[in-house]
Amino acid sequence: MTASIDCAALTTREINQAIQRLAAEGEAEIHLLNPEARHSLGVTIFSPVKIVIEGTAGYYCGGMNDGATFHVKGNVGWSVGECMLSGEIVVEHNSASGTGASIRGGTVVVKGHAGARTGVAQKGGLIVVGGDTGYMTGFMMQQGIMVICGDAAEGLGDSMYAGSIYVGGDVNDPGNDAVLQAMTDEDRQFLSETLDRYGLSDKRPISDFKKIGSGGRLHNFSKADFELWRVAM
Amino acid sequence: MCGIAGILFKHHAGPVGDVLIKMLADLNRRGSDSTGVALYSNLPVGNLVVRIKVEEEATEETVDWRKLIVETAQEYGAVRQSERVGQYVRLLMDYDGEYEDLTVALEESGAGVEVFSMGQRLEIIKQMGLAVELDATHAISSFQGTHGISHTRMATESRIDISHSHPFWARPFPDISVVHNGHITNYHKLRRRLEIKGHRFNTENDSEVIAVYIADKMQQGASLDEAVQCTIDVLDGTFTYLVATGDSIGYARDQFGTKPLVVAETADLVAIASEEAPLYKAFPSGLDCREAGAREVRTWRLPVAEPALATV
Repeated sequence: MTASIDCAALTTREINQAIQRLAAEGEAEIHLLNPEARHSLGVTIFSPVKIVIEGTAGYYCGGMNDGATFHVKGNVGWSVGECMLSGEIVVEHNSASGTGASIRGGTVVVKGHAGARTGVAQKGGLIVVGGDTGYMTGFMMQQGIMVICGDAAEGLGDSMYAGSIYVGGDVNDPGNDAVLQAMTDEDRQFLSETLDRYGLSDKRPISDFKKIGSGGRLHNFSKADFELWRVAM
Repeated sequence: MCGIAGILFKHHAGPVGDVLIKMLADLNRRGSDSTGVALYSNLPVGNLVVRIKVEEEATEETVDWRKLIVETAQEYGAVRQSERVGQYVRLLMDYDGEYEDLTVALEESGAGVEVFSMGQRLEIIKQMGLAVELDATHAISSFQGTHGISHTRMATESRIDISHSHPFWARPFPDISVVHNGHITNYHKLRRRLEIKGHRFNTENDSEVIAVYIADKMQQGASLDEAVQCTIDVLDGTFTYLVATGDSIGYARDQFGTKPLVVAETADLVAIASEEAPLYKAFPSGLDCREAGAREVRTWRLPVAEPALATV
């Protein structure tokens, strides 16, 4: 079953309540019409429903998602999928700052470019960006995986604790304690499958990808690393 | 928060006022203390347009503005048109002297008189309250021009009044205006430096220093692009701002990309706003846009051959 909600005549609260009501009634797929970059569309959806946003969403789209699948046909604003636990959000065009901020699980895919602080404090899950990503991507990342097909702006992986960031393009200015790690056959296999799944295989050959991880020098304080700490703080 | 928006039509005069008011009406979500626009067009007569605030709160004409303003202006050049709308007097005149001289003379003509803008093309109109109210008083929607920038304010520091509202004119440099979202933390230091160089400030608002700094740089020979580029390192704090001159528009974002900005460019126009939603209000079919990056600076200039495009 498929239902649709015309956002134009409704408040954001009415839209989100309608999504929850339709999902509870067993709708498998809900289309949001005329989203016009409105904020907070589809936040706190805890049902395994598919939500298709027929256009552009604003800030916090799919925030705190637990189990729903989102397909956004346009752009999204700040903090798409913030604090997501599980589910999937696929954005056809660009995203702004804080993409997939602090997600604990699930997948955020942005087929275009992503903004600053993508995957900041990521605690699990997967973030895939088809294009470039902005300043301080992966800042204080704690777990999970990020795949960036294009270039990463300055500060990539700054002060990350753990997790892996794969970058197909340039990493001109990595953040504090973000270090290059060896790519394994398993890594390449994972990248190949992931890019294939989201139709991003033509973005970048797998052989171009580098792996960035934590150097571990900020895990425990050492006087020898004082300069690194001074900059990181 | 604060909201900012700008528009530039690349090839011909367009509905600058209508586009800005539609965007501002949505951006009032981000700030409703005051709303203002800086509009650029050609003058029907004269070589100078001046926008002067005569009263802070004026619903009735309590000030004899013809005596105060117009007679003062007449001493400096022929006043071709004058009118009073809301708290403003608008003058179209012929003037070839120093802008600071005329500005000082007008401001000394009466208590509370403040020159909000001066130039060959620029008119700054700002008012307390919402975009719909600004439009009702000043018919901004009917304004045709080449470009403009605009602002909705949520005040975080300095007074909430019309003088401390955006846009700010880079006094006394003609046609330069700025709108800003953020907070300049080294404002006092920069202001002191500029004051020592002889620049005057009308307000305690930190955003005013951006306009004056850029104008000062350009006076020393820098292009708009070079001047804006300098601000990335000179300004401390959070900022996303728009700047406009008689023939250009531009933006800058601070080193952390703290305050939002999305930019759309087509063959015909450049549209810039704090968020994407206001772009939909002005262009219902949507524009292909992207968030500007940290430390990003861009400027656009009207074709040199037509610096003075005819108004429609």
